Amino acid sequence: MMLLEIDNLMKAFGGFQATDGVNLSVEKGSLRSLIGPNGAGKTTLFNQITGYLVPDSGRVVFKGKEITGLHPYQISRIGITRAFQIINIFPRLTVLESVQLAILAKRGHTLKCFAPAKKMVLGEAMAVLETVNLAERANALARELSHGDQRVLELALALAGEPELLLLDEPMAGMSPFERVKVTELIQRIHQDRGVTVLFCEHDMDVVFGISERVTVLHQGRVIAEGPPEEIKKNEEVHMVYLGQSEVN
Amino acid sequence: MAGGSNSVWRSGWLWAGLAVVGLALYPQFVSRYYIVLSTEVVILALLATSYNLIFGYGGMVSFGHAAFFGLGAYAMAILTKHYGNPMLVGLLAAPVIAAAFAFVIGWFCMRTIRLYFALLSLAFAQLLYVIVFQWYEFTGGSDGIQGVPRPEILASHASNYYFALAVTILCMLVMWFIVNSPFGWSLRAIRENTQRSQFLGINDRFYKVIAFTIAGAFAGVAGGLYALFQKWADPELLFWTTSANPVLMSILGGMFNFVGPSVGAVAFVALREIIKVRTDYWPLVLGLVLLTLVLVLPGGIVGFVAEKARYLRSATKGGTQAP
Repeated sequence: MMLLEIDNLMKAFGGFQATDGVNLSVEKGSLRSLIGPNGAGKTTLFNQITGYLVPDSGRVVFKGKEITGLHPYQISRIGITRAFQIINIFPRLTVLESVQLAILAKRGHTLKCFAPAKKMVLGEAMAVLETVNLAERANALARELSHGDQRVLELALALAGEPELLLLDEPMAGMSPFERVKVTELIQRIHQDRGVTVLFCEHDMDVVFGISERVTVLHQGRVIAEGPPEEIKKNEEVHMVYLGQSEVN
Repeated sequence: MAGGSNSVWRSGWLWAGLAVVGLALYPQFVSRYYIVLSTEVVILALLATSYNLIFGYGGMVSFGHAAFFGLGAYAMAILTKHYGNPMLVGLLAAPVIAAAFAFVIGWFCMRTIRLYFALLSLAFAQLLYVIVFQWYEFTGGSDGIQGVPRPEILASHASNYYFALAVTILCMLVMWFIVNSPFGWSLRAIRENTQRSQFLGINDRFYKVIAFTIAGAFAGVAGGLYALFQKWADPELLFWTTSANPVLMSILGGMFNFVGPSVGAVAFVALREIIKVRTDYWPLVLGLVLLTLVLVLPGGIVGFVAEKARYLRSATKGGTQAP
């Protein structure tokens, strides 16, 4: 069954066609990566899936329902959450509070005005922090974390939203090799243990070819190749896009 | 960890209890002048705390909070004086009327952010001020409404103080629950990072309108109390200079702490009284004090004390707390 279907999606900024008729289907339970050179339209595509940008035309269908044009807060509630390429956290909330709030928001409890938030979904929030190995920092303010830990919190926020589809936008950006290994394992664990469908974009090809079940290659706003990692590795067009014309000649 | 934060939580209640006892006993030991002054402080503390719901917690700088304070005062004055309703009717109507206006104004203002939001809130408040100022038959125009009747039971200064104190404590308690609820946390999250809060599933604009309405309601209560306290309502209560007061009190006391604005109200009135008898230039001196505070103590008085206390605690524990 297809969890996410993207049908001929178009988005232009001025004269620049950032998304030029993208078609993409993500099967439920899969671990899919999205690659492409800078400016290929990966983040723009994520922004359209999550409702931050409205496409000029085309459709985004999630679990058989069209979600094109819904607001981010509506889309995250129906099961698509996202970790950002740049750190996008709540500096003066503690780690635990941030994660509790993400769970409360997903479950539609955030309009409750008189319940003590501190005591709500505490177990679930700590479980998320255990999963990402951030439990020890639960009571630290988000802004006090190291860069690597802030990236992990970024991921924890997306995970706490109890997603069916998790979008990760360059989750390893700016991480040390050691942290990359940990986050790679974490993504695999989230995928396997929680059965979350994952769509991620990443520049680290070792990670991409190491853990993806399928790889989609985006170039100039279009999908130019899609398939299992081995196939993509051998694809000449992909080589050309990544390594330039000289390689082929 | 959980036990540690729990005991802090309990000691918070202990401090609050001690403060209430202190505030209740205090009039027995001071002159009438201080009782009257304290009544004003209590009401202004309620006003400032209501403002801080949107300012400190919600991150919205409104320059129009006086509108709801004034509306509350006029609701009390008109309903009791002109229509002969009992005081309690006025006190219940004040927040309802203020909240209704706050909802509509908030709904319009929330289409804008930052400076535009601040200016739009100011424009709406000034609009209401002009209406109150001009509508002579209903509001008494520039004269205001004199002689708001006080019930027999509130005849003395002390009883008026106790009444204002009781209502304020009740309102503070409700607001305390709100800021510690999932709704209150959502407001903080919107303040910290609006975009991310949307991606968590929070409809930020709607939450801000609700917060604006709640803040307006409690400002209305403060206004109702104020009309009762000074026995009249005048257009000045809605004027933009009145809007500045809760902003100043929140900054003075500390906007990132629940009791900050109350401490700010005490400091504000104390400063005013100390400076006023010595010079006519009280706004100038206040300006200088604020300038110094913003530069030296960006977290306000409470922020400064909390920071020091945290530093001391971590020092005595051998630095278990992260810096």
